[in-house]
Amino acid sequence: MTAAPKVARALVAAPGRLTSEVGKATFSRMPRPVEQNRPDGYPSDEQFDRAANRALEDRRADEEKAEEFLRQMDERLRAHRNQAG
Amino acid sequence: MTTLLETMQRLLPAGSRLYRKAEEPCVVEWSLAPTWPPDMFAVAATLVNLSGCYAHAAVTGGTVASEAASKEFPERVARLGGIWRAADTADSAGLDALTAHLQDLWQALLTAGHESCVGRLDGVLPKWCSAALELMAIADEASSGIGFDSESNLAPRLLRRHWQPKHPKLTSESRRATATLCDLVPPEECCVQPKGRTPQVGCTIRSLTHHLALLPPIGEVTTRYLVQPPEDAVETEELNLLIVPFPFAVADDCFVAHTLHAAEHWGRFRMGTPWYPPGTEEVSGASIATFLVELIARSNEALTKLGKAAGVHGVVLPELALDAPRARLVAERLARDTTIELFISGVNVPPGGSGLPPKNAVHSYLFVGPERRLAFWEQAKHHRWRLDGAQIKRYSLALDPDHYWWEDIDVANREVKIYSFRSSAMLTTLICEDLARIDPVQTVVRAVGPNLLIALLMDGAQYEWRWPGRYATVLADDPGTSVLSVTCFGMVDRYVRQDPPEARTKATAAGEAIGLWKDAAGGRVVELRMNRGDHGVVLCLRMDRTEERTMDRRSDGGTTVQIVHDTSFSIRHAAPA
Repeated sequence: MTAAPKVARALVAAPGRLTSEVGKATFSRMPRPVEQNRPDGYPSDEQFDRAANRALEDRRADEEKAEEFLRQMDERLRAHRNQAG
Repeated sequence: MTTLLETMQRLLPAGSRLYRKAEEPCVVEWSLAPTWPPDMFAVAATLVNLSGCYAHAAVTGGTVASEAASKEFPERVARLGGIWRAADTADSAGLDALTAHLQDLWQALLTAGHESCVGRLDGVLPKWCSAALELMAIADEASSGIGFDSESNLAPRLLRRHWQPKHPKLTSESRRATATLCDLVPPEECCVQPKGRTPQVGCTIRSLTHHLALLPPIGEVTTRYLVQPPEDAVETEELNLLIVPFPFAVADDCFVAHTLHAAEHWGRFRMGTPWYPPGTEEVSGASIATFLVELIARSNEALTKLGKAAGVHGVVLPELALDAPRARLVAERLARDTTIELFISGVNVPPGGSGLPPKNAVHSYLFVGPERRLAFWEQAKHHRWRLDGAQIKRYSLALDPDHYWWEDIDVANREVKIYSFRSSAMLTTLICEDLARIDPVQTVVRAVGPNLLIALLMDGAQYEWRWPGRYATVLADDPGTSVLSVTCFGMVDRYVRQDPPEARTKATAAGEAIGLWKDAAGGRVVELRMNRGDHGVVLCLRMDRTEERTMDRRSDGGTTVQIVHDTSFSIRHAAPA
C-alpha cells in the first residue's frame, strides 16, 4: 500500500505505458496481517443466526399485538358496514 | 373502459379482508376497507395516480373551497392516522371513529365503482377522488415510522419479513415479500415501500406522501426494503465515512477486449483485476483488511484531534475495487477489529456456470448488534458502460478508439436495495452508469427518496461540473436525496493527464477530486480531494432534522433526516514509504 506515491510517480512518468505489474506494486509494501493480540475469532454462522433470531423473538409480543389490533379493526369495519346497511 | 371496481378487484384479487375466521365461508369480498395501511395505500394511491386528481386545484390550492377544506384536512388525517398507527385497542372511541370514517370513504369508492378511473377533471373534484385522496393520506399518516420501527406499533409486524439475514439466500416467497409492504396487493400489480424524503418541488403523487411510496410492479426493477432489529440501531447525529479510492493505480491492461465485431465497429470489454495484493484470496483479502483497519485507526486519531467524539462509522470503496470473496473477508475482519457500522464496496462477481457474463455489483455490509452480525446485500449494475473514442483517448486505454466498447456484464434481474440505516434514515447505492440513466432505477429512487445515495464509480476526477455532479443535483432537488459519488484514484490519475494547467495547479494545492458530495435540497456541492500519496478522504456528515410538507399541507413534524456536509479531509496511512 505504501508504494502508492511511487506508483503515482510512475504514472506521471510513463503515461499509457503501465502494465498490471505496476498495479500489483501498489500493494507490494503493504503491512502484513498481524494475527496476534486480536480478539477471539469471528463468530460462526450459527452464532449469528441465533443472535438474529433472539432479536426477532424479543419482538414477538409486539408483532402479535399489531395482528390483534388489525383483527379488531376488521370486526369494527364489518359492524359499521352492517349498521350502515 | 376500466372501472374503479375492476381496478380495485385487480389490486385485491383475494378481496379486501386480511383475516377470515376458519369457520367462515370462503367468500371473496371487497365491501370492507383494508385494515393494513400499505394495502389501503396501494389501492387509493393507484386510483389517485390513474385519475391524475392529485393535480386538481382542490388538492393543490387555488379555490376558495380548497382553502377552507385544507385547514381541517391535515388535522383530521393526522388524528385518524395516529389512531391507526398506535394500534391500541384500549382507545375504543378512537378506533370506532377511525373505522367508521375509513368505511364511509371506502363506500364512496364502491358507490362510484362503475365509473372510469380516468377522464377530464373539469369543475368540482368527483367525490370518489376526494375519498381516494383522503384514504391515501390517512394510510400515509398511519405508516409514519413503519420502515424504521420507531414509535409505530404496527412496525414490528414487518420486522420478521424484512429482516435481512447474514446469508441472503431468500426463498422465492421471501424475495417476493420483501419487494412490498402490502399483504393483499400482489407485487405483480404494484409495490409499496417506506419513504425517506418528500419532494418539496414539482407536482406529482410523490409530493403527496411522507411515509409511503407507490412503486411499479416487480419485474422491470424490484425494490427490496431491508431493516435491522431496533435494538441494533445506532443513535448519533454524526456520520463519518472513510472513502478509500482503491485501486490507486489502474494499468493499461485492466481493460481487456473480450469480443470484437469489427465490421460493425463495436466490441465488448471486461475488467481485468490486477490490482489485488498478491497471494491467495485469504492472504490478499487479509492484506486489504489490515490496511483498512489501520487506516481507520489513523482516521479516528485525526477525528479526535478535530473534536469529533465519534470515529469512522463507515468505509466506502469504489466500483469494482474488490471481488466478492475478498469483500467478504474484509467485512468479517472489519466487524471483528473495528467499531464501524457500514462497509460498502464495488465488487466483481465472477460468472456463474450458465455461460452468463460476470456481474458488476455493490456489496454492502451493516455490522449490527453487540455480536457485530453482518447484514449483507448485493445490488448489480443495471446498465453497461459504453466506452467511446473520446473516453478511450482520455483514459489512454489499450482499446481501439475507432470502435464502441461495451462492458461485458450481466444486467438482468434488476433490483434496488433500500436499507434502513440507523433509526430514521435510509440508504441506497448505485453503480456508475446507473446514476446517469433515467430508467428504470431513477423512478424508484425518486419515489422512495432515500436520505443518502452512494454512487460507486470507475470514472475520472469528480469535478463539480462533470456528469455525476449534474445527476446528483437532479436527485438532490427531487426527491431531496444527498448524493455521494466515489471513484478510484487510478482512473482519476489517468483522467487528469489531459487536464488544463489551471486544474493541475488546483490539484497540486488541494489534492485530486476522488469524490463529490451534494447536499440535499439546494445545498452545497463539495469536491472531495485527496492529496497525492494519501490513501483516503474522511467525510464528516451531519444528520439534521428538517420539516417537510406534502402538497396537501401535511407536516412531518420535523422528523425528516437531512444529511449534510460538515467537513472532509485527506488522510494517509500511518506508515508511508
